[in-house]
Amino acid sequence: MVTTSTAERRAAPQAATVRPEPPRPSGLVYLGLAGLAVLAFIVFWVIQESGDVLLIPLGFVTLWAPLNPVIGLVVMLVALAVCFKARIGTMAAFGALAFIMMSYWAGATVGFTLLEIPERWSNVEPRLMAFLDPNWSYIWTVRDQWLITISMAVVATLVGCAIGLVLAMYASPVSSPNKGTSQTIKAVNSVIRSIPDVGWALLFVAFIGGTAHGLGPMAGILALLMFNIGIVAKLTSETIDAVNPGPVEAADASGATLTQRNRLAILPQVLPGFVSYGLYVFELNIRASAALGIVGVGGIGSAMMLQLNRFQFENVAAILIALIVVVLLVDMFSMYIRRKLL
Amino acid sequence: MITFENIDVVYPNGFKGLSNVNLQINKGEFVAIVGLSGAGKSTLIRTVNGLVPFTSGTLTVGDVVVDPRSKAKLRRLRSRVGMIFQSFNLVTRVSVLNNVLVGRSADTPTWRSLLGWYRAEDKELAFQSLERVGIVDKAYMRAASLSGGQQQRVAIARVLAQDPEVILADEPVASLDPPTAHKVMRDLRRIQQELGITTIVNMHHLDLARSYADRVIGMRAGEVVFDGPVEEATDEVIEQVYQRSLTAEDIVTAEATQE
Amino acid sequence: MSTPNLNAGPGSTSQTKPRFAEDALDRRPVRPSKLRYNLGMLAVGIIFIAAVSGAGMDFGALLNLPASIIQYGQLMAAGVFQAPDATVAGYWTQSFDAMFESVAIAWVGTMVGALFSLPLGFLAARNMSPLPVYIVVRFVLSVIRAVPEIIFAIAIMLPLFGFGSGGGGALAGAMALGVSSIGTLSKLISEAIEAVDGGPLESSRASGSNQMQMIRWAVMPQVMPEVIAIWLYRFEVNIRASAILGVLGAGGIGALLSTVFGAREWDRIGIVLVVIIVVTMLVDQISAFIRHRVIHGGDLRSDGGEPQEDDDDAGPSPENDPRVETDPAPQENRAAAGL
Ligand SMILES: Nc1ncnc2c1ncn2[C@@H]1O[C@H](COP(=O)(O)OP(=O)(O)OP(=O)(O)O)[C@@H](O)[C@H]1O
Ligand SMILES: [Mg+2]
Repeated sequence: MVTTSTAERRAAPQAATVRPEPPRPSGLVYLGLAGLAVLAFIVFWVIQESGDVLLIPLGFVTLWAPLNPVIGLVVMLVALAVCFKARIGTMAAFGALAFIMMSYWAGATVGFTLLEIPERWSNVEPRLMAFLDPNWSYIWTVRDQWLITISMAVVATLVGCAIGLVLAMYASPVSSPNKGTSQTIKAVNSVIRSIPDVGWALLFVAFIGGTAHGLGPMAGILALLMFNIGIVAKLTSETIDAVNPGPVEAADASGATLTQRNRLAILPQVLPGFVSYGLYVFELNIRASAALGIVGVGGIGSAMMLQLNRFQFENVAAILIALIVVVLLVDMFSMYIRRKLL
Repeated sequence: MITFENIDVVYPNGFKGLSNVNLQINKGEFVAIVGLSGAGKSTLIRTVNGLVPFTSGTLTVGDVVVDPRSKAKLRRLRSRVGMIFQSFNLVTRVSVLNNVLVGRSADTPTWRSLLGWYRAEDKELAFQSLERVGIVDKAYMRAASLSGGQQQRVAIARVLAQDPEVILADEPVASLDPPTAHKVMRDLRRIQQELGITTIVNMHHLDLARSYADRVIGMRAGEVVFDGPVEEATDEVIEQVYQRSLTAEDIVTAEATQE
Repeated sequence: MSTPNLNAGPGSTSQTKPRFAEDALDRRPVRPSKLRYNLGMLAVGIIFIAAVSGAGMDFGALLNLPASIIQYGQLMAAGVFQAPDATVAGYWTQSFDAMFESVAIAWVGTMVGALFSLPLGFLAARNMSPLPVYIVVRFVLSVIRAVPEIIFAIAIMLPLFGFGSGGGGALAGAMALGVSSIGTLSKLISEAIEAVDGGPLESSRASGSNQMQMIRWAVMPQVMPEVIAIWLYRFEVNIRASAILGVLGAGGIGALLSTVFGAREWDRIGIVLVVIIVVTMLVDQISAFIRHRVIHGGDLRSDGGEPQEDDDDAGPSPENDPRVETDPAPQENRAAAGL
């Protein structure tokens, strides 16, 4: 270490003024991480699908290597070197490495490339042109479908919030009767949440029949319901976890039953959060019920799919633009309610 | 009458909160419990209504033998034992009246609580409780909009709405400024006198204990080390309890003012 | 009941008898009108009933639901628990491949969104960008948020990148998710930036650093943990969202779902659902673990400044009065919803 000023030089011999070295991460672990990177390189090589090859002439012999995995390896090693240089902890370096590997894998899996955009742009142009010139007169003809979509969203939101609230009360250890109940409900809820909305829609359409049988809205509502229960129960139970325990204890101390104390001491505390989750879920529902039309649950989505299959892009465009407007309106409405209530 | 016979409290983590406490608190008494932080004052007070379960010994409140394992019996006990907290523990988002009505829970059917449709006589009782602590005019305000002293009075009214035989107060005035602290203490004392409610109060400030209590209990390290009428709780005795000399912090400096 | 020397504290002679005439403070207040509240509840009820009839639901269908759940549930369970011979093993690997493709789609989509969301987040934060920029960026973001993913997919990405699993479909799905992630990610990030502690900002401005230096040394250390958490949340949301795009032809688990449901092969449906549940829950667990690590310290990003302890102290707000409760819905929660 080079000291510059005389004052510092004079102070140097004294042990007390020795400057602390910045903490240095373990080189051995970094070496291990580099080994991991090489391992990942081999795996990438084995699973790679493209045949692009990188030729490395060394004079006496020309090595070849697969192009993309080599790029991946170089990126990983450079990132490790940078992390080491910046004295970043080994855990963070591992995080960075894992991030690069995950990204490489994901990119390779979806075949990430932007090179084809120019030549395929001609496919998009007619659709985009249609979007600039929507068939406005069409919107009025599907008003019934709009009504169904919004009705589905309303019913699913209200029922889903009610059920979600009850589940949340049982899911949070703060408000549930015992630990076993809360663990069970939490597990059930994460199963409910892990099935995507379209999965639920397909299930209920298969169970009770879809648009073809005139049962679309019912299946759609049930699907949205499961979707909403998952979200509302999770968010609300996390809010319950964080309530002020004081009033809860006070209710306990005055001899309230579990239900009474949940109603009197916990519900008022979580109500603002609960209402905003409800409004948020309503917004999601409008969007989702439009999307779910493609699997036959009725509403505006079905109309949109019909027009899409007929290549009537002007009509699709009209629906899409109306959808954007409706979602923006719902967004503004829920912002208004939130400000009014909270 | 509350009797502790050889009460021990061992917390789940193995810490011994109370060891071999023997006490007899008579009906209508006003007892102050003093001791340093961590001495076990809160533990003692919370064993009475089962918020902290004792691990051995016998505890009787009135004619009831406390059984910390039976939830239903505890609820019945708690409906007769009111508790006041240092941080008031009000639901700040709802009205003062609804906070007071929480005290009626034990005598209200669950469906009434769920809907918030209380009986007229319960509401009357809540109003009377608010009148007793002198903030009936705030009944329909949100608890959040009240000052600290007013919030503590709401908490007292909540306890009164229970129509309790015993009031437990865990440092009820520790987060209040001195004049307000005196006002709240006077309220408590007056209520105890008027209704003959046994009152047990945890205290940090010696002079408050001396000014309002009939009897002082000193605690150290989970044990009762002093128990006597307030006249006997002299500075020397309390220094023995604290194991240090008294300082200015042990008393509330400002003089109480007349309302 | 009064004892001779009642120890009732200083200045308390005759507390039991009121010394003053009754005034307004002693009278019970009039009950405030609950008309608005009741009207609101009534409106919600009417809307609910109108919606129930408007949706045209057939409640008769509900009667058969339990029976069909049991019937098909048994078929699905039979599919899941059947002995894994070559074909069944093939179903399992096919399901896992499709689900992993969905995870990859979601990851790429989140990366695309994340790439754009950081700069846009700064531009949409009121304390970081000039008012005109702020307004324009906010408006663009709220339009993006209003557009469902399927619209990006149908209108732009699918024709641009092609359909089908493994082919261009997966990329199309990823790009659609990426574009639609930009809106929510940027909004949440801008809120995190707006909530940074003003102290470090002021001190770095006072020591003469420029905007970039200030962002690097005063803002980034504070918001980076939260930003990473937001990205991870969105990743979880995107995994689920990728399913609907798959049904449209964008690859991943959605494509497989629509195939097996189309063929009504209940044993395969059961297998696919089990795979979805297992992989999604696993990814959620890992993501939650990393999020916890990043936000509440640990070695990861140890240079990331002090992690925010609590959501409540989110900067100086006008209602920092301790008696007034702030919105108890933690910010983390709102992000969790992947708004
Ligand atoms: N839930 C618990 N688990 C384990 N130990 C506890 C628990 N609650 C209290 N203790 C311990 O018991 C001892 C007594 O605590 P207690 O709260 O009764 O003290 P205190 O006299 O009320 O103090 P203070 O004046 O600070 O309120 C303390 O050492 C504390 O650490
Ligand atoms: Mg205490």
